[in-house]
Amino acid sequence: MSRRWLGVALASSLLFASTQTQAVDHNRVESGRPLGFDDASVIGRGERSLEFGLRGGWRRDGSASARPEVELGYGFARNLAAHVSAHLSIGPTLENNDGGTELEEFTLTLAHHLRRQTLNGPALAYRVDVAVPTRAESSVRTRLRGILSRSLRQYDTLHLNADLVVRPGASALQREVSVAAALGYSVPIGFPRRFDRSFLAAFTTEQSEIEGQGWRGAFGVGLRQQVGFRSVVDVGVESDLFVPREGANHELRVNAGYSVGF
Amino acid sequence: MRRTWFVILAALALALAIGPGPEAGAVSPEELPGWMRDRTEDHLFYKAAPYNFSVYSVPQLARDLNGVAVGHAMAYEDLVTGRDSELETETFERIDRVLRNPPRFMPDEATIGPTFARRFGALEKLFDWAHVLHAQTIDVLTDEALSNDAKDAEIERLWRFYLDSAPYTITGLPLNMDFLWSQPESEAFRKKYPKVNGLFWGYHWLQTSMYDMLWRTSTDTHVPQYELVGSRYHELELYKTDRDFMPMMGETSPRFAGRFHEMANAFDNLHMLHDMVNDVLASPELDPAEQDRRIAESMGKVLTSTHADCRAGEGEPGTLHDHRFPAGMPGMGMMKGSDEDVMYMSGMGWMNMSECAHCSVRLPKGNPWGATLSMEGWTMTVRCLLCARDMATETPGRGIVRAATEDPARTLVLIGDEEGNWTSSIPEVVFLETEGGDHPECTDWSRAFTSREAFDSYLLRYPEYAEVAPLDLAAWSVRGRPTPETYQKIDRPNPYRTEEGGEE
Repeated sequence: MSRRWLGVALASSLLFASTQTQAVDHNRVESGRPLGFDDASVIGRGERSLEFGLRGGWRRDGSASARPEVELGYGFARNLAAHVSAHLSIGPTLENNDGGTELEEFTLTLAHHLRRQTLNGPALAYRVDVAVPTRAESSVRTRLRGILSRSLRQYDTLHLNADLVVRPGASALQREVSVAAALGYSVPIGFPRRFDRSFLAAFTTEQSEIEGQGWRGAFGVGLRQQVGFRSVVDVGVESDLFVPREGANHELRVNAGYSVGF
Repeated sequence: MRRTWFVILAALALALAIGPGPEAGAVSPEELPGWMRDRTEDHLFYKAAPYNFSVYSVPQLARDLNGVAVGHAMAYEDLVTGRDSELETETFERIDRVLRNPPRFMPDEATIGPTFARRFGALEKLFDWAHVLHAQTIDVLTDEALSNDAKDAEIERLWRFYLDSAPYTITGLPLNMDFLWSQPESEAFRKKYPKVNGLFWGYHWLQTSMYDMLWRTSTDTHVPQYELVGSRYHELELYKTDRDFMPMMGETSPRFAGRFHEMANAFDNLHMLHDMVNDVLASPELDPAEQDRRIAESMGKVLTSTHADCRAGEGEPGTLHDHRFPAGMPGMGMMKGSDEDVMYMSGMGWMNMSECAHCSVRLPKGNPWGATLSMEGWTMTVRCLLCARDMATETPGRGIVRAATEDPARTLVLIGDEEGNWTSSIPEVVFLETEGGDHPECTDWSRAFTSREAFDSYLLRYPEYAEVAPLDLAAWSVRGRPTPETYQKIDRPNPYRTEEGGEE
């Protein structure tokens, strides 16, 4: 079953990558593409987006994992978009030490842009992600993310994300509520000669979902490169700076993805 | 006391008799629609369609249009970030470099001009949505799968989609361009920044000229046509600083503007809004708050909602609600000095757009509709192929003739070089041209056919031409007649210039 899912995801990736398709600008930032923060915009009304991503993780103990994902988005109203995504995992991950290949979870997202940036105020948005795990022992996880984007100088922008994660069916070992935050930075690079590339950097930190454990913090850099009139390739590298408990594995993560709007 | 009242009444009467001043027809802040105060992005995407982004099938056109977006955004950004003193030097050079090496993909203008976008978010919405209409129309026209009739139907659907999807739309009614460009700050940008203004009007030349190039012409011809149009754009049109007025859809794409007049008007009104915004930003006597107010007012002047109860062809002359248009051209508002019969066209002089530009005989309605000739930056409609060829011969430079054939679905495209050698989009084209025909009947005896069979079939129906031999392209090309006796030059001075040649 898992292998079939993986096959479908990879085949779809190849199919879409090989056709001339069209969404999504290099300067739009979305969580996972490639770093863990969002900007305060949503895809336009009527726009559909399809995104493929692959996250590889390498731990200090030598183990490795891969996490392919596919996401479909739709701007169903002005300033409102819905996304549905499926995540697979191959090998041991931070969330699943057991390894193996499985369809890990589906995520349903509602993104709502509230305010564009003006000369006096930042852009604001929020998104709600409901992650539905496929494993019976895991519980539904809901994340409410508040997003603020504000230009730093003329072209570069800071993005502040604040998360509240709620696990209604948490086990005794798990926190029912945890928090996370991200400080992201994006800037188009190549001006005034090229207009198809953005550099990103982010510091992300999240409270461990395990009761009694502390925080994980990571820093990453990434690039979004427009490769078609509506398609973008992204790549990012992220490394843990600190881990939630002594002796826990540090991880180096590489994200790569392809997004297309149509 | 009685005398005081008399003086007041007399002054009022005089004011009314003089007519509306520049501020007449101003849109007050209370009249501006609520969405202009809304602070969301409101991004709207294209109408979902398989033809989207077909413009890339004419690669150089697509890239040049991408360059236009960069050019607009760079100039605006420098204007609002205190770099206005560099506009004619560093900004111009920077934009020019991009125009010579335009980007492969359409950039997001808000990324290149973030300060402008933050300050004028409502204006950006208005611009962006109209630009999407621009872009999708071109996508339809460059699509290889749709028939000409299907393209026309889809363009009408796009216009409805544009109007129905958002409140921030630009009216499709003709607006009086002379009124719109008679505001207190009008022409400030052109006078202060002639080179960058030249770029803006060059962009608008390209964005208006491309419609007749693409409309109802075979997609096979688009790349070769653009080779000529694009080279003119890069070599001349971008760097003209002596235009009297911005290029209009009716002047550069008269056939498309005549057929899709609401869309043509909306594009002209959009381009005029660009000019009005430029003029406000180039007026240092206006403080930023006043600039914001004047730009909001300028937006109000061109909104669909402002003219909701108005109708094309009606309105009080010389006011905001003057929706009259020149004869034969519903896709263009009244211009400086124009009346219902004639208008002044830069590079051509006074014209009656319901008449042939070469023989002054009334243009035919229906098929064959005649031909157009694109040369020297203008596109004129003529009655027949003879008029097109002879007018081309009288005009120096390269040209494009687009002409009706017996098949309404097939437009003949002839691309000519400086020596008068033509290449045809229909290799088997056959021409009919009599030796001594009179111009009022030229649509009968000067024609193009897609094949010899079609020519013979026509002669069977019109035996009076039975003795006329068919002409191939080479034989037709070398023919020529003097200026027809029916031609009537309208002899009036340029309304944009003084008698000494200076600006009005």
